[in-house]
Amino acid sequence: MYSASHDRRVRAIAFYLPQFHPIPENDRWWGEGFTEWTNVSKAKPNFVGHYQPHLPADSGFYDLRVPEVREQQAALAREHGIHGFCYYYYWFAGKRLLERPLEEMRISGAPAFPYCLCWANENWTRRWDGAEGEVLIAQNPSRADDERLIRDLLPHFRDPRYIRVHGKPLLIVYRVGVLPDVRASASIWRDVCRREGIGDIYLCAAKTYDTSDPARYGFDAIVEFPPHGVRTPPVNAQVQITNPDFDGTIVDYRRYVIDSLARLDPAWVVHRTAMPGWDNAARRPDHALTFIHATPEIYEVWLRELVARTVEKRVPEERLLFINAWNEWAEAAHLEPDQRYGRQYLEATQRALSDALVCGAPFARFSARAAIA
Amino acid sequence: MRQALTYQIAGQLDEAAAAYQEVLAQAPSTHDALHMAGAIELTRGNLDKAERLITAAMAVRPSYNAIEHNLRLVHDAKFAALLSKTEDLCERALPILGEFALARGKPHMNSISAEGATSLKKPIHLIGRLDAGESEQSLRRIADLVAPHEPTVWCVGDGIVESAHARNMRRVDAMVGAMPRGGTHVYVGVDYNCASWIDRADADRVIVFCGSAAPSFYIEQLRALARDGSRAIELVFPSQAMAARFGRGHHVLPPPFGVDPHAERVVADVPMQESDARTERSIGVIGQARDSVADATDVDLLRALAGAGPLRIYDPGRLRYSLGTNARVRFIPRRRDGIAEFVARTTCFVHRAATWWTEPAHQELFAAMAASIPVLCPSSSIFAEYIDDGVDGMFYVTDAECVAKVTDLMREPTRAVEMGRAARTKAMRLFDLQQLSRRYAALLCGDRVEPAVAPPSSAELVLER
Repeated sequence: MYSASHDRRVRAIAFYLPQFHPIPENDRWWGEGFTEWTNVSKAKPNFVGHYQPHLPADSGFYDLRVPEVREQQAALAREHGIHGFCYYYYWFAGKRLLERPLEEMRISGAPAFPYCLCWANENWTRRWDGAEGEVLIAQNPSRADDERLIRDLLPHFRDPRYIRVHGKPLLIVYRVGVLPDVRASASIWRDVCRREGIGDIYLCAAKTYDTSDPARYGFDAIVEFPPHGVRTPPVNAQVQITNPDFDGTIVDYRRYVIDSLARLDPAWVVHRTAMPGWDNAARRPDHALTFIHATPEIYEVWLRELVARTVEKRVPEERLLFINAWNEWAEAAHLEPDQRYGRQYLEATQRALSDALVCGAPFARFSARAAIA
Repeated sequence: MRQALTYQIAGQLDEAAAAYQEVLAQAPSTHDALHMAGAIELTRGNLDKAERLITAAMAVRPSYNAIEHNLRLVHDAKFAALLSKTEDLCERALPILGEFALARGKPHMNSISAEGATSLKKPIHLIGRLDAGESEQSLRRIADLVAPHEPTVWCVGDGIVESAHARNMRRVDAMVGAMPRGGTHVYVGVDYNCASWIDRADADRVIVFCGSAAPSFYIEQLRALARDGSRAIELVFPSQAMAARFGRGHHVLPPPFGVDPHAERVVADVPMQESDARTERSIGVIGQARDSVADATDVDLLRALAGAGPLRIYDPGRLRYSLGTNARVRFIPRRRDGIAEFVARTTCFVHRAATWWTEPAHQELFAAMAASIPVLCPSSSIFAEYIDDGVDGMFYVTDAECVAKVTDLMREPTRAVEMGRAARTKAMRLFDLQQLSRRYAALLCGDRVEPAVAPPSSAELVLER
């Protein structure tokens, strides 16, 4: 394997939600002035000990239209060892949404912080989960859109801050399964990029509902996307439910981590992903998927193990590791400081990543051997 | 089918499994074959396969007690395996928890001596559970050790509030606001629920005496006591080895154990022949104080020990069923203050440790030392640092080594007596009432204390991946 290499650096990339600012479409669908904070702040506990709402600490209820906020986020991430952000790219057959923070970041060149994109190619629905339901704006994927999409992305691929693997710009597609002919799409994207002087691109499929060997799609790798693929049995019976209308699912975060670590690596390249926690009670109060027992130290154990495996299994250029997410506040998946844990998740991330740079075991356990009096 | 059953009864599991497979190949719905094949897989530890087979048997033959019973055993075993994985994960998180989540503020440190601290009269609140077990013993003993500082003892849960300290003993009742406030809060053990009131129990200083509890419980409880890192708490451990599992910078004090200096020792202070007669040269072990202690490996070890000499098992629990027919084994029921009497009647005491959090409490081990009984202790024990190998006790790594050393010791009573004498001397020194009182008072009243024994050097802490 590759752990003997002197370069033990792992590039940690945090998924970044460019919401947190009002847009006309959301005003129309959800009411004037709607942002993600609207849901976040009104979340309520569903059971005894349920940690809700998650409220921001250092950053407050920020607005991503403000450049200083974006600068502060990048500084905080950099300070804690995070290599870059992966912005969700909302593109619906030529129509873009929530594009302002990203466009301003690209045009201004600030913050000077690496980034890449994940095409969030699923419908927006009233249910917030991309599944069937009342569709607010649909993808309606068609072959004709392939070239339009990739040309839309070219300015980003040319940006010196854009994250590359083997010199190829990294692009993640959230749901490859909904594309009518994903192999053809991948081929077109690669052709256009070559013709435009970008060269080849490094295509990753998010491991969401329907992914397997990336070669089947003409892709290079898979990116894990927890909590997708959760098969951990629910533990609803272990808590005292206080919301009589609750019919959601409660899962033990620790058990999920154990399942994740027990998963065998397939023959193809899978970039591993950890999440600090997950609970979408802010979006779906009565039907939430909620992970309990998520704490910074358990997250750190998980991340350390993923770092160690990434170093062991991947060549230096492919040592990517993802974190879901930087600021998914409505899914309780955020590294950004909250009022309960402060910066503990950021510090855990920093420690897990920086220890990987120290030669030897990235995680040490004391054996039971004791000193003799 | 009959042949398969014969194999199974004879313990020839491979042959029995093959025979059941033959039956199922001809008649796939034979519930007895499905059931028994599942039982074999359960014995082998193949729990998923066992569950599949026994569930299939149940589908064919519902409401059959034996099948239901075995299915329940499978589910119990799966749950235990799951629990053990969770605890393993949490164990790995403990040093992280200890080093950064609990150490947000500066620990309370000043240079006030124990005597000086007395004059400050900072109220001390001791908080713990009256459970008639280790927690209660520790709570009462610490209250005794710092009695001159007039601590208030707070009982969490339903224990009976009665003791020599009754006038200063109160029950936490969050509904009426009865809870410790201000001063130094000293939590003894972590095995109780304080979620409903901990946020309101403000303190100038928080100290936690860490006892036996699973790592997952530690994470939950220490986070609650530290309010997720927003207030500093200090941890006190009964050994360096245990403290090391929680990161660095914690207090270590000998556990609050009491030795009666006037108590006559059975072996050490009497001639050899008499001591042999009085102790009957038996081997003492603690049985199953916690469910997780006894498993098949334990039973094998205990059988082997019984071969080395008469075996006395204190608080045997389910071991009665495994070893009840062995004439060389005697069972002693657990009762309040019964441990001293138990260990005093043995020639050597075998301490066992599966995982550190299921390790029997310190009381038994130190009771043996105080009673001049040499202790055989796993070198992996969190209390191993209290034993000098070959001087006042012995280490073992494997069960075979344990049995061999016990056998030798039973053949050399003089050596056992010498070791026992050294063990008692050490126990007297470690648990000298005045010294221990002074150290506990110094910690609770403001001073940081030196470790009880030399801390392990970095070379002695073996790093594992």
